[in-house]
Amino acid sequence: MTGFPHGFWRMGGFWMYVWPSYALTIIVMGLNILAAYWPKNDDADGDDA
Amino acid sequence: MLRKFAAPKIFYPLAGKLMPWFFWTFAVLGAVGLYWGLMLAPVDAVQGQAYRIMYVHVPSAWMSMMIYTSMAVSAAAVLVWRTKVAEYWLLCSPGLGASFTFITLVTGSLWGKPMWGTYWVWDARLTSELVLLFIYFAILAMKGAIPDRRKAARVMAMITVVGFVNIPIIKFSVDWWTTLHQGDSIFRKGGPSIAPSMLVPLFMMALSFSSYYFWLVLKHIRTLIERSAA
Repeated sequence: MTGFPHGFWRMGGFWMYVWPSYALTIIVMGLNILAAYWPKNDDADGDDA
Repeated sequence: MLRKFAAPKIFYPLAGKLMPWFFWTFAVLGAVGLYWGLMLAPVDAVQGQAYRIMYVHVPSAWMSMMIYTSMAVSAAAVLVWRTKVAEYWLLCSPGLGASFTFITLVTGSLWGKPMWGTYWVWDARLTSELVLLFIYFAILAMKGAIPDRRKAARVMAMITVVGFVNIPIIKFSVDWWTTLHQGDSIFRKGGPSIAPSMLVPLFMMALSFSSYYFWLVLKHIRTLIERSAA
């Protein structure tokens, strides 16, 4: 337990650090799904062709 | 044989057939991996609950490098053979690569605070991963700045090839320099230093994230092919 902060649970380690990590990952991955299925028309999408 | 599959006419229906497989692999392994990683895997003796960040941080870090490597292979095909599907792969991947790099940096930072006492240090692993994000941004900027898609792909290919030097630097940074970031604990001599009950969900998440990337990159490429044909 060297160096590990005492009272980790009381500090809310799970709620302060773990949960936000998962939330961020899900949000970013969700935004990428939206970008793939509802793409903007001004992407490099062949307008130049 | 590979050149045959690289023709958009062949690639389009093939991608359409593969996409559901990648989607379901992503969805099923992601759901099981999340449940296992968050609920079933035991609490770490040293890190407590905070180690569970590993299940999103580590697969994202692998993806950030894997996507870049796939782009480097495409870049070589673009520069040498001007393969169309390689151009599409190169045009469609950097957004996803940058997203995973961003997730890696933020979740790593959130893991660093309870373990190291700080959100950020200018250590070799963290800095080289940040450089990777900037390289992705540079490639995306070229995509946005050059309206002609074929020219954009060639410029993006050149930057990708030059930037590839950063990938081994990220991988071996923890061996070459003294870093606060831990060394390899999975792909190392003598086998992984993580218990199987913690390792299995990690591999599930890694496979899920890889499938997610292939699913979406194929969707993007199909959109490009549709728009080119329109």
